[in-house]
Amino acid sequence: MFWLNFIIKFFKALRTGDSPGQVSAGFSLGFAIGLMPFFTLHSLLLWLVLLLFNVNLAAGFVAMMLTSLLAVLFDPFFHDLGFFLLAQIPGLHNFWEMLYNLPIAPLTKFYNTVVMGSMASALVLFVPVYLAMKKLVIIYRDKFAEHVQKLKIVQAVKASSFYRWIDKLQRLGDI
Amino acid sequence: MRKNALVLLLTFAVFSGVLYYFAQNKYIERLAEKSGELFFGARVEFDDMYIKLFNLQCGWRRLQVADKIHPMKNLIETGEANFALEFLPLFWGKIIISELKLLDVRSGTARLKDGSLPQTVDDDAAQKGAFAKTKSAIKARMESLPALDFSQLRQKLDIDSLVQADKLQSISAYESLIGELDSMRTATTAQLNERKYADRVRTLKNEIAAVQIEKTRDPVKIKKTLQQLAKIKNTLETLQANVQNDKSSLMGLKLNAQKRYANAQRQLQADIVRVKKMARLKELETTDIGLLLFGAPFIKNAKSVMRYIVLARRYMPAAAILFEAQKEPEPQRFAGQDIHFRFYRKFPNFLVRKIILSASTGADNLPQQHISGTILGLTNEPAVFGRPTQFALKINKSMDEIFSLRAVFDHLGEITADSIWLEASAVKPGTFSLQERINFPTKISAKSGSFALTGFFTGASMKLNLQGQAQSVQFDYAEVKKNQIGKTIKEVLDGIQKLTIDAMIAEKGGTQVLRINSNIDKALTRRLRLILGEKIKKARQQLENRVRKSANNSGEKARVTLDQLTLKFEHQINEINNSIETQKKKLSEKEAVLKTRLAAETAKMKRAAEQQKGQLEKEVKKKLKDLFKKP
Repeated sequence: MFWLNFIIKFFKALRTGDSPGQVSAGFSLGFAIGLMPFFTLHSLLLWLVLLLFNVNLAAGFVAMMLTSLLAVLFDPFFHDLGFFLLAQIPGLHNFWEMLYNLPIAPLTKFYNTVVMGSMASALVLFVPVYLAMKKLVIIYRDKFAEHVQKLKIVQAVKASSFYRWIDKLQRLGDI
Repeated sequence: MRKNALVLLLTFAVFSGVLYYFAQNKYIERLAEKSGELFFGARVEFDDMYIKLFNLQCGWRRLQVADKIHPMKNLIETGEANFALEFLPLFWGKIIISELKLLDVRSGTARLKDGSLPQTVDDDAAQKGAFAKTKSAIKARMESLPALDFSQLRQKLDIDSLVQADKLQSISAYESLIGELDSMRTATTAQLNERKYADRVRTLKNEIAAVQIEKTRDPVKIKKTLQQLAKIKNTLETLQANVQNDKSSLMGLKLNAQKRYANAQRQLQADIVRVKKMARLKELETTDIGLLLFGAPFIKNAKSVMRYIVLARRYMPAAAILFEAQKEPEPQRFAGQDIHFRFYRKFPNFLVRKIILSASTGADNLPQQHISGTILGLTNEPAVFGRPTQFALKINKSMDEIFSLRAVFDHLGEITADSIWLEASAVKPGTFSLQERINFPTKISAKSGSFALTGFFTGASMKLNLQGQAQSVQFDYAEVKKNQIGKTIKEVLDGIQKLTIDAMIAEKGGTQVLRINSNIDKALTRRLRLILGEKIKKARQQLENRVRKSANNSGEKARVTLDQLTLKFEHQINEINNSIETQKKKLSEKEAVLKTRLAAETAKMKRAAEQQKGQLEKEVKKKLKDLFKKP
């Protein structure tokens, strides 16, 4: 139910409300969180950014849900990438060694191949995802939002008692 | 900035903090108890344990560690303890305590509840290895000490079981040899029968006799006869080669049997030594006296020192178990691989840099001993910490009676090197029980003394050395002995006021040494040897004769069988060989006659041919002359 609420909110946000920049920033943050293993320091920091800054939460949660599901499939790739970065580039060894000996850095578990691989992937993909999502929101709002609203299936869903009930709940629980 | 989210997060943080404040201590207390139980193998109970997150202070009001062997008593009980965790190592999940003060440490205090845990660990596991070998070697050494008791000596000598014929190795060896010689006889007889040497020689003899040489003048016939003789000669030589082979094989068997016989004779010597050892009739050595007198109490105390060393050695790996229980759960997703880099900081998983001890031992109603000292560098990863664990303890039993213990547990490398030094001065040794031996004292008491014990344990080898002296020594006897040995021992020991002891137990490369020397040794050995020497010598001779007599029958039988057998077959083979030689000689004679005759006949024929040739030449010349004559 919690997730359903966010999905509805996300579709609403696509259409109206927050600016495309806020929606895509929330989405990108959620994408980065979902891509990385959960119990790490930088993951926690991204959570704080998502919760505290004025970005679209629903987009963040939806992105997080989607990428978490997909990330499992990419774990072997993350492992290979992480191993390459940590062990196969001699020039970086000193840097990793220095990080390893710093007090806070080991809490990020950067020395784990999957953590490093997913973190690097998230860093690389963050800006393209942000830009792509922003463009998508603008295009959706300009060209598809009205068409989608007029679709019979959408209207049928909106007219259903289930949707009304969800909507009521959403209004009650809105922050 | 989303203000509502900030408020929500703060509310969540406060709520978590309050929950943690009320629940964490109990949780940590139980965790610490479980870890302690893994190490000690008995119930561990912390009372009012706490951890303050703001200044990282920890402590407890009371700690009880139950004794594994006596679960209704505490091995250790401490009062209040406070210590601080170092902040920086926590970032790497390392627990390091700078200084831990353990005050009011007591041992042997009574418990209200049974402190035993369900038995899961093999108690004897730690006792195995080098120490177990040393123990059994010590036991064997003590059992090999001579018996200084004539009645026992006579009894032992009279017991037939001591020289049981069926247990003497030499008799078995002789009998086995006789059996083998019998088999050899059967096999060789069969072999010689099968070869039918006599028949074959007889046939050849007949063949040689049948060759007639007197009337033959014709060279062609002579040549034929010579060929016949050469054939017989070949057969004779083949036969002789077979006989030589059999002879060589027989000599091999004889040599082997002689070796077995010599071996059986060596077994006899070994039997004599073994039986003497069983009767414990070895010569009295100076080194035996110390063991006979003080072996038992020394070994008892050395064993308890070894037990403590084993216990202390067990601590190092056992601490690893403590953290094994707290391993993080594996991540749900594909776990990846941790790449560990060089870590400059010397932070082991668990380290107490310094423990300050202040303790009183002894059960509630007994006089207490005061212990104070320090333990430095107590860790489960000494190699990471880079310094060995050091103990320094001082035990005051009274104002003057002071024991000081130092120990270094060096587990930095692959081979552990542990050392202990225990020194005591102005001690009141009191009374010690000695092993009950006939003619020897059963107790020793001294009014004052001092000692120094050093122990070095490197890998699987060990060396434990004790040097001590005691004043106003007195020996007590279970009963007054009237025999000469008992009287002599008492006389010598009564004259001793000051006793000095130098004892050692060592184990290196599978060799164990147990030695106890004292200032009594030489004097007592000399006196006892005078009494015992002749008697022991006589008894030893008696035993030797007895063993020799028991083994004599079998030995003699084996020797005779061996001689007879070899003689018989050698004779047989030599006989065959001789008859072959005779026939060969006869054959050679005939051959020589024929060869001479052949030469003579050939010459005769040549001469006749020459004459004939001359005559023919003359006739030809005459005819030619007649042909050219004028008519």
